[in-house]
Amino acid sequence: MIRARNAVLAAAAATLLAGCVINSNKFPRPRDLPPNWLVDRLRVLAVAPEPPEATPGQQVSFSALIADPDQVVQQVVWVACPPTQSGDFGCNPDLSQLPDNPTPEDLQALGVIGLQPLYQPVYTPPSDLLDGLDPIAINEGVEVTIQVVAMPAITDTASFDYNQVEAAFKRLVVSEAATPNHNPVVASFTVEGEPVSPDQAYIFDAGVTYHVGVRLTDDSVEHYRYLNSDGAWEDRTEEPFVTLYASDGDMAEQYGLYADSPLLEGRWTAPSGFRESGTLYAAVRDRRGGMAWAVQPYTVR
Amino acid sequence: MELDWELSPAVTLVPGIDFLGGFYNFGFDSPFSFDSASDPLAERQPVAVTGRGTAWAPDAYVKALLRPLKDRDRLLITPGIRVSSVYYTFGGSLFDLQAQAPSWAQAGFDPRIATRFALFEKFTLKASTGLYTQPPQPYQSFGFGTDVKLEFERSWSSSLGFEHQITPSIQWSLEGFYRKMDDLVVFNPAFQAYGDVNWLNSGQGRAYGLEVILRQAPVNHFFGWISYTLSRSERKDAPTDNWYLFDFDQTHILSAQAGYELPWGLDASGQVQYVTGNPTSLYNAGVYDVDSNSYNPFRIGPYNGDRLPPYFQVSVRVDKLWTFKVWQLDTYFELLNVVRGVNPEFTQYAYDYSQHAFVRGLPFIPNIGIEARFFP
Repeated sequence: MIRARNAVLAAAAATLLAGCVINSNKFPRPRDLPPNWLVDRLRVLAVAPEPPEATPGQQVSFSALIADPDQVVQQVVWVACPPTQSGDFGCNPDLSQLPDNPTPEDLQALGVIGLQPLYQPVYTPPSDLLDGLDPIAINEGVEVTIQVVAMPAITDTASFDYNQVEAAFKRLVVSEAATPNHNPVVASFTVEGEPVSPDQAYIFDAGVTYHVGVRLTDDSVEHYRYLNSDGAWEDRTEEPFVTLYASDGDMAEQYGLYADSPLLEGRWTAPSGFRESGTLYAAVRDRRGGMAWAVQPYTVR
Repeated sequence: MELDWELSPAVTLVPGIDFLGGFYNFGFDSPFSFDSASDPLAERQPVAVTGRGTAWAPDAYVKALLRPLKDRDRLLITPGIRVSSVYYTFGGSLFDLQAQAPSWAQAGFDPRIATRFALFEKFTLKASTGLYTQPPQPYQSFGFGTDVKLEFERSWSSSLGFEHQITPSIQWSLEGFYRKMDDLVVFNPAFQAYGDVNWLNSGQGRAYGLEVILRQAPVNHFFGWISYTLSRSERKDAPTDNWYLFDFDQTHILSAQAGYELPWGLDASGQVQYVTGNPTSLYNAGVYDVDSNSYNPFRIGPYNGDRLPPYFQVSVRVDKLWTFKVWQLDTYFELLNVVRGVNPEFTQYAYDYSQHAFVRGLPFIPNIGIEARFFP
């Protein structure tokens, strides 16, 4: 009788254990997915037009914060297209129109405005871009899409790994606003509220959590006039905020859309590895199309 | 509420009423005006709207149970008709902003008929056909800066099958079905901003399949059943669009349950279920929208062109029943979802849509329970 009871108990225990393990790791779980703040591959983190709000006929230059931990990027292609020719993925140039050996003029006709490192991206909005719009719409402006594609050199299209291509797009505001937007300017990267030098790696203690962020120059936060949908002018002040990235560790961003949220700072826990080195990235947006950034190398002791 | 009114041994009328109704009251605050919500560079201009009113959905139906043959159980014909309706009243700032009428009423008219005919003593044919209508969901009944006057969604459903009593305790049945749907409510693809019509009745659908069931009545300590359904359900959002699978289309549904009465008042039972995974759309990359700080996903293949892994569940249970004069005590030990962690419920993507994982359903649950039943 005791033997039979033991057999039943053993069978029940085996079933329990089997239930705990059968196929429990067959599929990836959400916690296995990489977080947005982790820079472990080629990423376009920020794009800044200069100026971010241009008038028709005004030349605009562009720069981008491209994180490339594996050093794969050989060229960056820039394309511009008007609102009528852009979609959810940015510009859609018809590459089939290109001849086999395209000249810079061929590329320009297709909307290519830069091909780094050969040609720096420059774009001049057509002088008639705002023609036909009413005064309110001219003040508000239209958005020209600027596409950025970072990629390795393509030597063989058949074997090319398109997963190594990173594409992004940004809107360039073209208007005749009375108070056009300007990009914010980062004065310095900060750790525990204190500015640090970008020229040398900051030394963090392994596994310790720090407040990291940026400090902007005093005139970065602009005051401007906004014509609301009721037709009334409002005096407004920008509320720039930072998005933080890191090559390792653990990031807990704290910014939000509420006025009392810390906008330019987050918490980052340094990796626990011994003598690790990496990079912290901070991208600042002014919510009107202006951008700036800071890059801070680090080591862990 | 339903009444049984036997007019004669051959005719019974069953009239009835279903009623659903109530009040609604909601508020919606947005930091952006409705017409610029899709532009990440739009200036913030807070908007707050409210909606309040009533919704009533009284349905009336009548069906007749006709047994025209001398052997009353041999042929049963059940014609019926159902009138369903919905009535809304609108109030609040959302409706003040637009031309929506202060009230809206709509009705559906559904004739149906079903029949069962015992062709032989142990073989019964069954068939049915009829219209089924369904009012739009409440959130689809509100315009967004414009009037919405949707029709009821309609389905014409038909089935044909038989039941066969193999032995006094074993029965099997086979039934095929076809359903044609139209006036399905779909989101207006031309919708861009506040003031545009947001919902349309342009959707069409079709579903077809067959179901087979084998049942063993409780005899000689054993009972059980096994059923299998093979089906396909497709829809399109406009007559000229391509067909795609419904979100909950399931090609195979296999269910089995069995129990055995052991000595010493013990009962052992088990349940197995296998269901094809729900359709899903697969994404494998994204383009970064710098202004909104998010990736717009690239879909590979058609919408709902892929499937989640199949759902598979096994549960076992042992009961011990004690019977007393006026009550029974049932104690049981059960293992739910013995095969653990293999039932993804939906897909979650990484921030850039380059990888995905599955959010899972219930895990393995061992359970001990006690249940008391009292006899009056």
